[in-house]
Amino acid sequence: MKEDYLWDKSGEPDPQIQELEELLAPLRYQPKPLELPNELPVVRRRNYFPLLAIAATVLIALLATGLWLRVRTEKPTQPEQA
Amino acid sequence: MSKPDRGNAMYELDATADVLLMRPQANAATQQLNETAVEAVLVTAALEGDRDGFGRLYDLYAPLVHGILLARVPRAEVDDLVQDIFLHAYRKLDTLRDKAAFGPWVAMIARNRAIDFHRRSRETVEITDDVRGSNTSDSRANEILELIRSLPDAYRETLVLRLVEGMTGPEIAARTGLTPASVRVNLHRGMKLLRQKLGFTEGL
Repeated sequence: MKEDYLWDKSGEPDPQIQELEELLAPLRYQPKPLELPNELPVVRRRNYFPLLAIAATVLIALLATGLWLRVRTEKPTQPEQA
Repeated sequence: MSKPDRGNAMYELDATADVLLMRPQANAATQQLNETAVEAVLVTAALEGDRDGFGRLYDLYAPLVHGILLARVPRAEVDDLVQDIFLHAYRKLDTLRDKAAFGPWVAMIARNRAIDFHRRSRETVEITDDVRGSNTSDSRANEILELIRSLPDAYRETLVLRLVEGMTGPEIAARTGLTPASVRVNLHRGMKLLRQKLGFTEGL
């Protein structure tokens, strides 16, 4: 069917569409090099995971130290024996 | 673009992209899957600093961007805008959430840029191409392009991508993110309207 030709260029070519393709060919994209300026910074994805991991580790260490100190200072003293 | 000092990882990414591009296209679904995989590989490479990887994205998607712009802005502005859009995309590549969606993303940038262009130009002169052109074939091409541009948005973009840039319907769907069914409808209805404007009898 000629509709197939419009869709994916298969099947029986549609002469009207072929004519349009030929007439419009001068407008088609002509490859040109992309000019990225040298001073344009290279894109690098920012990865915050290591920083977050370090921050979490430090926080946990501080909390653990604080808890340990609190438990240590609250430890009841043994009564003296007569 | 100059070749950067590339480690083994870059060569592996390149090889993956090459293999994916060489795979035979069994059907539209396979084609879409391959293009998506290639996009993700190349975006990953570009995000790791591989300028050549971004260059390959440019090679793949410049015709798409060119066609989208040709459907909307004067022909004389298109080439510069294509370069601007890819420079913008390069700067903002780390904001792309889905690495497999570079095509639809850059297509959206192109459409927005076309809207900005018209917004800036609105108060100056009416923007139409000089249909006289440099020769007869250019003149006829410009006349037909003006007719396509007079069609509704969805139809004209799809028709330009098909008739000017030579993409098939499945390729248009894969690169723009539209469903194949939508593209098919746009092509069919757009072509029907274009035939009426050209005075063609309906193709059988």
